[in-house]
Amino acid sequence: MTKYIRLYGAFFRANFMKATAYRGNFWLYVLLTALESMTVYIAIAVLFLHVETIAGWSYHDMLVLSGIFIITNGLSWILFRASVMQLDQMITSGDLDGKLTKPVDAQFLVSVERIDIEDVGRSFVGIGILWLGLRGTPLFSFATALPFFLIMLVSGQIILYSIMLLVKVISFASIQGWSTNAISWRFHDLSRYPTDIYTGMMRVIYTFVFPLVFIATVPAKALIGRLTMPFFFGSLVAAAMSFAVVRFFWVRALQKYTSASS
Amino acid sequence: MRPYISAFRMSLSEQVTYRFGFFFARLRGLFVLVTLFFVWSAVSMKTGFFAGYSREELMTYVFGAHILRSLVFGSQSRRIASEIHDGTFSLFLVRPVNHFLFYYARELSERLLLGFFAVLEVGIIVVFFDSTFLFPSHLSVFFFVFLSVFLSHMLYYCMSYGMSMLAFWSREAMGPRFLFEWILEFLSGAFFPVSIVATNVALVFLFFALPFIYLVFMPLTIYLERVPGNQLFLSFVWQGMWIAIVAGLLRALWRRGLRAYTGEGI
Repeated sequence: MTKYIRLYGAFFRANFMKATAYRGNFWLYVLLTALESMTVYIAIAVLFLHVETIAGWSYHDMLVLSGIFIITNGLSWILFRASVMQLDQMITSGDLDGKLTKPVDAQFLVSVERIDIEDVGRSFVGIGILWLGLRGTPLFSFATALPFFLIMLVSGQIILYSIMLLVKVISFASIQGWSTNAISWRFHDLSRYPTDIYTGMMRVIYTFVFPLVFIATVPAKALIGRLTMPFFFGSLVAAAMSFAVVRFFWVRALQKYTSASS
Repeated sequence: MRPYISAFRMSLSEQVTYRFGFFFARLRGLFVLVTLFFVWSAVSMKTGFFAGYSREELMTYVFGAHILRSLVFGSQSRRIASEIHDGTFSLFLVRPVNHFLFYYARELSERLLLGFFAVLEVGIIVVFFDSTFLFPSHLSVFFFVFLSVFLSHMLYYCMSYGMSMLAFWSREAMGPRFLFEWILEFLSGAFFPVSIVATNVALVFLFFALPFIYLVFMPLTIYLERVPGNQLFLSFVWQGMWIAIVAGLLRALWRRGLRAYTGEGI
């Protein structure tokens, strides 16, 4: 485990140096990603000009949810997203072959090699919006909810990672893997709204098939004091199951992989 | 005219060559549509109204915006920036074709194809979720909507083409373009009818002082018959005026850009 943490640190440093080599570009992208995230806040502000609640979520609750959504977005870019989304290129160019020969788990290498440091701008905006949403929350209840929130934030990232990699694994079977990026991004976008807005079959799908409910909605519920234990444990189970499923498909895909370059 | 018809056909073939990719791209749009359907259902659930729009009008707006996004927002001109950077743009300078029209032919074929599929998707969602899609009470409205959509389509193409021109001066044309597309989609009314911001002066200025509302919001407002007769004419004048302004800027950018172009990569 320590080896993998050290490796991630090395990748992070390398990507940081690469990103900041052109400082003007780096800061431009930080600004762009921050501005993009600001539109989430404006959308919430516009909606709440006319309603007091959306599916039982007040303005401040929605700010908490939006803040968490943006933080998860920023985190995913820093942890795995940038790397996972280029899996199709690695397969078609044959770069994946090199990773398979390294004395490290190939799934790990494929998932963390590229890190988009500039997306950290999103997280700052997310933290700001989260702070706006939590301003009225008593310190004591915030402090007691924080450990649960952090655990579920990690679970949410594991679920998001699993969904994204699962979609990208399709690239092993099709040369048109680029289109899978758009769909995996949309999966995450869906979690920007509370899953309470969905009814019927869609709610079942977003809870059990693609457990998007655990990415932002449930962590937000933890911070606004609406978390129930079934959701907390459900989050842990969903994260473990998602990871097991993606690992299974990854191993199966590698077994059938015939290499593009050699 | 023949080169442009060929460009139209080629682009159409390219779109459907990678069917799996095409299917995934449409599936992505469907996800957005379903999400917006549920969001607007949730906000109008209590009273059946939201900011002066009935639930049926809101749903029609959401579905109409899905179709307009496909008909108006294009991606073909994104290629121009990379062509300028790798030097393949030089080929257009020695060919007897108009670069603007060549790319427009490509864009048009893509928009018509995606627009057709967007209509099908809306039909599926309306039936699947037992929702409502309103139709105008007068046939003449269809003519005005068609005119407004055509102008929106032209306006977007001119703006998008202009953004790609930035590549003449900067290697980083994709960053500003990414921001442009994101902000444009947001301010155009693709996600909500922008008239709902009417109670906030700052937001009114942000939305209505810019040309973006003429891309999605205005055609849909005409469709929903919420534009009085005297303002209808004015809305077309504004759309035309914005096209003229952007086209003028485009011409200036093109002339200066060609002077700055070094034909790198030839």
